[in-house]
Amino acid sequence: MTETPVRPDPTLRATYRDVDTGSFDTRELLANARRQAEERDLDRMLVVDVDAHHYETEAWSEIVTYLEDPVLQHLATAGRHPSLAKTSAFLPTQISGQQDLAGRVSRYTRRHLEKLDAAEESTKSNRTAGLARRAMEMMSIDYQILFPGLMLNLGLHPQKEFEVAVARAYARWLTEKVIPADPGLRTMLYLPFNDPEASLELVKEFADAPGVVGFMVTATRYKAVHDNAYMPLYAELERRGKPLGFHAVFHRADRSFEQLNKFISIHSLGFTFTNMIHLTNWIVNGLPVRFPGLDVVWIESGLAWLPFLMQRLDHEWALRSSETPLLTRAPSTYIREMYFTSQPLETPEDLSILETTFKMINAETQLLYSSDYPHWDFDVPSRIYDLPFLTDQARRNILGLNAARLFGLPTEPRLDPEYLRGGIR
Amino acid sequence: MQESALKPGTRVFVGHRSELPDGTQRIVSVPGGEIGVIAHGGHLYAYRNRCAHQGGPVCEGMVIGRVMAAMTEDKKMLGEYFSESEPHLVCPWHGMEFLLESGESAVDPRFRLHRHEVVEDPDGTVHVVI
Ligand code: FES
Repeated sequence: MTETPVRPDPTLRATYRDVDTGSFDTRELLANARRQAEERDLDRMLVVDVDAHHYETEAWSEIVTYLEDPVLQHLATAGRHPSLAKTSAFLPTQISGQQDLAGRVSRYTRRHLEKLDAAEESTKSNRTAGLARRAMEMMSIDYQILFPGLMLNLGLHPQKEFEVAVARAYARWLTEKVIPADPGLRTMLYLPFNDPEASLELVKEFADAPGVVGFMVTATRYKAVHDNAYMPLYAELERRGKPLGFHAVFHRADRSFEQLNKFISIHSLGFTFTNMIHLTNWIVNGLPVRFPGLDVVWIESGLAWLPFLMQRLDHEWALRSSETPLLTRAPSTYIREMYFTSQPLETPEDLSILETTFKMINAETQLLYSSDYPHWDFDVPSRIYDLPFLTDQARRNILGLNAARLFGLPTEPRLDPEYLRGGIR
Repeated sequence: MQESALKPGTRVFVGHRSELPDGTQRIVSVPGGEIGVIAHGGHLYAYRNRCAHQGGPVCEGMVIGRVMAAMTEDKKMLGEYFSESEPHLVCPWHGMEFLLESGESAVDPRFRLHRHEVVEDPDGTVHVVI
């Protein structure tokens, strides 16, 4: 290194700040995502984030006011002040406090310190929307599909009427209070899948609500997707042109996972395994043949599971086609017509592995960028943008245009580059 | 600050050494980004505040010892403990760990932080070299 100038020039008294762990601001945490967006001119490109999260547990006292059953409403609040409303009667929990790597991933322990403006702090739903807004603006995301957190395991609740009640309360809260609070927000609403009729009713009631671009089944559950009881639901979704998403998750109560002691193990396997089960049932039982117009989206399993499953199913299908009478072609060919969210995008040292995966799943038309923000393994849009093997068109498709086509979103960017560069409030 | 004033090799003022006790993580703005100066174990380390993984503000993360496994001689696991000789700088975006001493990833040689030289003058003035 050359050593010039020797004495500090006063004009080089750079501005500095000391790291303060007693505060938190999304705009500071994601400042480098903003820099990346500007370096790549992402603000002039449509970016749709098909899987991001909010913390419904932090707005629980508001959500439970939408519970229609007075007995459940009482249980939720225990007759007390709303701030004492408990989630534990409704949302199955597990030993899972390791997502934040023991505080190493700072937003888990500090996000409660974030301050928004007065209007956004006025209600929990406005705060939910405000936090999403900041993250979208910092990452140059024009539209974001929001999913809940602990509710991803609601399908394991022993009382299915609880699942139905919470799903309805959540759907109303989200569509009446959160989605309208920011023009970038969209939802694939939680379906109370343990009750097929209630799921169908929820689709009928909310399919046309503003911001509802599809519906979502959480992957930890034990009712197989090919059960005949679901056929009216799939027919209704197909008729309305609303995609059905399967959001991966895991639960330690699953007996086969009890041996997995570390979070890395259960997260690596759980988030792929649960979707593998549903995708396998979906194909083997011929649901793509029965509902050719129903688009399905596999959410938050990354991509590496797909080459495995495609090869495995094709191999067995060639020998055991007698068990798959509805299939007229190889299982992988149906998989290639499905949609997949990108996160957590694996990082093989040999990039040709990822390139081959992209080819196998027709990524150019079927892959949908997702951040999973604010969860620990989120992906910034530059993950897709910087892949050296993508054409410019493929990059634009994956970052936004595929999702725009699938969900009927505008194809132009929504955020104003001038505003973004002027400093985000 | 003029970008042209900051050619490679330029020193940028960080502060006086007395303002940088152990535990300080000072983020200095420079054109095009930031440099983080971290005081730990009586030393100052400086890295570009952009993680080699996805670009997160790595210099704002936790400094914590490497987690080690303790085993008996016959390879039974006894438990885990923190190394006192191998501090890690942990990026707050996803938790990737880097050796504080060198900026290399603790496990994956593909990821390495961009290191900056820290210069401490006899009068205690501290600069980083761009
Ligand atoms: S950006 Fe630093 S760990 Fe991912």
